[in-house]
Amino acid sequence: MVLDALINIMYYINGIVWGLPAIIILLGTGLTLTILLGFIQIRYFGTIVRNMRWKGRRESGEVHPFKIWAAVMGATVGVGNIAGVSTAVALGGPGALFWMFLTGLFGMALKAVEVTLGIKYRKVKADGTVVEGGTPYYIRQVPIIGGILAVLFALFAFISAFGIGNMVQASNVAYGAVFLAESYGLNVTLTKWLVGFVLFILVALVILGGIRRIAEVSNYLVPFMAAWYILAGIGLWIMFAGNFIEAIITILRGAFTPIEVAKTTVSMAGSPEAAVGGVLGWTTYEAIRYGVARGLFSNEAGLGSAPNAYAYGESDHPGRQGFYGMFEVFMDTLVICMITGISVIITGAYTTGLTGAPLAMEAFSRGYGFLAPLIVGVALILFAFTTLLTWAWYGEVNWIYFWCKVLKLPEKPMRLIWRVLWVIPIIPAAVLAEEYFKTLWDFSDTANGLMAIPNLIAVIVLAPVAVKLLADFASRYKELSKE
Amino acid sequence: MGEYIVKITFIPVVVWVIIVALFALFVLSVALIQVNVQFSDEALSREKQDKISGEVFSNLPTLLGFIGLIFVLAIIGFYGLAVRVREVKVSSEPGELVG
Repeated sequence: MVLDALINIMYYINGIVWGLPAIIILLGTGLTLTILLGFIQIRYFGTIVRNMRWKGRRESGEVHPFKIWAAVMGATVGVGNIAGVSTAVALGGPGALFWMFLTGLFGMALKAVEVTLGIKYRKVKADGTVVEGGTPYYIRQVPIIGGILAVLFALFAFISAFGIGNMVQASNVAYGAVFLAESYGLNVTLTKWLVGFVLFILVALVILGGIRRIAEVSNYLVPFMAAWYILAGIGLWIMFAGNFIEAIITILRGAFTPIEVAKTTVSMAGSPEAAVGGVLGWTTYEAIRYGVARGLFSNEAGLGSAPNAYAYGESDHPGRQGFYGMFEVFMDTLVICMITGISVIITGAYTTGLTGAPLAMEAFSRGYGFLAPLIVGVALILFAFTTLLTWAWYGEVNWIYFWCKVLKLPEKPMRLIWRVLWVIPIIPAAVLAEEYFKTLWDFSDTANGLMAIPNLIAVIVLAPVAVKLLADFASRYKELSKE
Repeated sequence: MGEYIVKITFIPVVVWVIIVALFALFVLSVALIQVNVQFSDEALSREKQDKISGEVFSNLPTLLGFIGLIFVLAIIGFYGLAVRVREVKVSSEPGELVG
């Protein structure tokens, strides 16, 4: 009885933090910061791209800036970039992509501010070692309520890390492998056990090396997985190039007016969801609702997750990492999400009534046939695996803040405890998947959404500092990059 | 490394409150206009109407309460900053150097 009541409360909160209220406040904050920064993401787009070539400065920060960017990118680009975007198109229609694009654009400013604050309020030794760094360290700078907000953030962050950062991702890697196993006639149960075991070993080997090893591995994996998916997507666009203009017109029309299409059958052989006529329709409200939601939750701008890793990167100016943050959102939402979304529309797969990963799969199979499970399956596995690695660090930073900075427990054993705890649920999550852990995962999902509240308050209160630093970096970029 | 003085004014918070409120109004207006949308399939139209009504209009107190709560907390934090200091000295050092 009490448990049921608690679960109901959790779902009520989940509806707020992942629903319309959060969408309004997050996109509104992104738009505000875009205005306060004078549309920096558009005016300085060339600088954002050129900044990615910066070589780093060892005396301040522990990890090469590109490697830390790759680690964050590994966490940001997840299964949501495939399944989530497909779901947004299925529930919001083609117009959802337009709103997702705008969300990415405004999310760039929001991410820039939080990342800049993460660097500004870290503590560094003379040899470059970061003593303190991450989101709770700038949240606590907020006068009066900062201390309690930082503790709440840390608590939400490490709880959500266990669920959505760990168990859900382990399950997603298994899901990607099952995708491949089913398509090519392999044993599904054996595949799940094998995936769980291999994942357990790989994750343990990587996270024991801390952020440096996570970044090192991401440095190789993330560019590969991004290139894999982007090239496959562009290939699909080329195959359906004749539909491109019509697809863009459909997206723009769907963004501002309700649209209706005839339901079509799926091309994937043996699909249980083969459709037989009827109509599909979407309102403008749904286009906004699902486009913005999926965009925000894909790039994580405003959640305060990314600064936990960026704070450990080599830097010469807080604004520089802010620019890395903008490129991260650009790649996540304006490139990878658009690859999925436009592929689903250009191939006409969105008219089948499918949703989630099967919809993306349907789109890719219309161009690549029997190779589609390989393309989508490998992408799902890599996207989920890199998320699992970097979220280990996000969780660790906040775990340490909570237990060691606030409750004053010794840091070394607590770090080890976290890393051991991190690998334990991997095999059960990969093998048993959602049906056994749904409530636990929903609880962590709610904690993940709750992270946005303390972070957004800190971002707004400290915005004048971050805006000044970002404007300063943009104006002095050439001078700083010569040094 | 540069050092700058940032004047603490209420302008950013006021701009933020106005923009979030305007965006909320925009979403609510779209929902209000579209709640009576008609598709060729009657069942689909009804489904959409129920969805918009349930998600937006039935949840209006929660929506306004949540946004209001974040406004209040941010204003408390900003007020704390503004009354303590009128100007903040900001250096472009990437973090505080400690021993």
